[in-house]
Amino acid sequence: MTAVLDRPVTRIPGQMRAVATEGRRSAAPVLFLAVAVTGVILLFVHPDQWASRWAALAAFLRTELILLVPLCAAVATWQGGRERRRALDDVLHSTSRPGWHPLLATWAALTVAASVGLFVTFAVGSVFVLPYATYAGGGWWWLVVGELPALGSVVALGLAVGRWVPFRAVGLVVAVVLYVGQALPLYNNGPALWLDPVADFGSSGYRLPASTYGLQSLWFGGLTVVLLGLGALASVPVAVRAPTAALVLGVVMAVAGAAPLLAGGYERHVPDAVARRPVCAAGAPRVCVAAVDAYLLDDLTPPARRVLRRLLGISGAPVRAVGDDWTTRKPSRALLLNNLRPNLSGGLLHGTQQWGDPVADAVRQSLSAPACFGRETQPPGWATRWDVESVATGWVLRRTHDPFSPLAPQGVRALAEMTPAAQRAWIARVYATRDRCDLATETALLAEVGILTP
Amino acid sequence: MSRRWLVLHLRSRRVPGAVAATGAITLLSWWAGSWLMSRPFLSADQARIPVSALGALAVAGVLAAKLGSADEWLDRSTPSPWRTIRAIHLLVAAALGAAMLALAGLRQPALFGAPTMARGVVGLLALGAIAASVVGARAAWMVVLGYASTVYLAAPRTAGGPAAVWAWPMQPATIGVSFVTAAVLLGVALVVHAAFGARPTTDAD
Repeated sequence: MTAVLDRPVTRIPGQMRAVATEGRRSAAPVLFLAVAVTGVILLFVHPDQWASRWAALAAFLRTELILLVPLCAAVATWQGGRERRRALDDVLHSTSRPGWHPLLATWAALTVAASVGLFVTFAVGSVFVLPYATYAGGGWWWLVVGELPALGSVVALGLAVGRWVPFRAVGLVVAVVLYVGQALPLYNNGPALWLDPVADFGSSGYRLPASTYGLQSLWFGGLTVVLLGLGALASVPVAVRAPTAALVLGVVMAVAGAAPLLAGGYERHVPDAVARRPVCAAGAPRVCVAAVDAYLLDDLTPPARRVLRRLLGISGAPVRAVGDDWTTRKPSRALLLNNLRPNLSGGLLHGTQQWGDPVADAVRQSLSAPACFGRETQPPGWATRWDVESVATGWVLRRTHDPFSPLAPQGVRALAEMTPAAQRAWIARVYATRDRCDLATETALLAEVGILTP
Repeated sequence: MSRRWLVLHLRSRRVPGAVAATGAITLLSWWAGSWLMSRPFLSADQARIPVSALGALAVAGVLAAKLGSADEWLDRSTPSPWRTIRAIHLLVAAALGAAMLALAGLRQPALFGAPTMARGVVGLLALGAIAASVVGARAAWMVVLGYASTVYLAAPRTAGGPAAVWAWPMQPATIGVSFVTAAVLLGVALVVHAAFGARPTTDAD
């Protein structure tokens, strides 16, 4: 009977019980609430950045770490400091358990709490992705899972600092230092970015090789082991064997993960061909977007087709509309539907920014003359091309006001008074001047619609 | 109040350490602001936003932790005019912290420079003082950190409107309402902190 009770299997529930007890008595419930509430609030501050796309949601959760990591570290520092202040070491030394066991239980409880808080955030976000997403590939789930080792390492960091540093506001200092420490690689665009919990995970048209997630997990796992070892050394000076072994193992793991990440350079993204595959609406004129943005096709097609039909037969004007495919290759005679931003119900978000409507923006872009870039700032003719494009855009969109070009509505009205053939010929001449940056022709075009340039 | 009393009061709250920490944060803020301004993809004003917000948060958090003594009950057992002392302590801390951090904002004073840094210290320290009365001085920084970090990422990108009140730390210097909000917070904090002081806690809490 005794032999049965002594089986190792009985130890597992016991250790789990210790973690569960820590989960109740430690700051774990506070950490869970802090992560879940903060994470969900941030989701709804920028819904256009993640709604309706799995990869974007996963990447946004990584972005949230810039705030959640300092938060986790601050709470863990508080927890570590409380154990030191309460002089629990003496009590723990009176038991037969190694001194680092309780540290491990506290770390596990806090890490689980932070992870569950993050998954609550993910679950809330999923409600606004699952019904609408048109692409679920690209290995986005590794982005979410890859956050857990990072959370584990910052909890270990907080516990170690809390145990070592007897300073009231040390948690705040750790939080600010971690925020700055995470932000600096983002501004530098160097390979150190991949050692950062908040790395640049690109847009939906890209994915990362699985090896990147593996190496990051190894780096953060090693860091966790090192920091747990340091934390254990702070409280159990008489039993240093296990913490020392942990330090050696952790350093080896961290170096094994960090070295290839640093050596591999900044650019690790690879194109996600399946996400970029074009999906087109039935019928003509042709309107296509990438598979990852296909949920917007129903909203984009009617306005895009209205524009394409108005431009039908005009020399040089777009004959189709295509979404962003994240390449530098720009198809000719196409409306380029860039900056597609969704709302929470799988539709298109309109008008929250200066250039908020992708179809209107695409019309303007189709009329802009790259050859004239730089001329806009210098007289004479600094505003001529701008006014020509504004009048043409207003005609295509049948817009009666333009907040960025006060003269344009007058020009649109004058243009509308011409015969249909003359109107279309005027627009064709605008498209014809795109590549020439011909100030004399542009001045003449404006004069024809009653706008005299200085 | 004698000079000796003043020294003991400051020492019991570890104020010299807090002043040194504020000086270090000021230097760091100056360096961080200059470095960010040198980035090619950030305008001088954009670069100052994180420095203005985080510098004020750090200073206010450090100073808020010093609003209570090691043993509040022992303090209160002495026949001293504690309400006046607490109010003066908070006022001096806010003025000193704001003046020191404002030095880091002199290089680029417009929009997110010295005035916003001073405003941030005053308002966030006031929040910390109110929090200290509820949760104790040792944990007051948590409330300051929670509020400041949430508005840092949740504040709208456009200035003014209701956000001038609820997200006042993120407003540029041109939004007067944000300064009024910080001043009102300081007024409330003076009343609350003078009346109740930091919540007495044991060192183990």
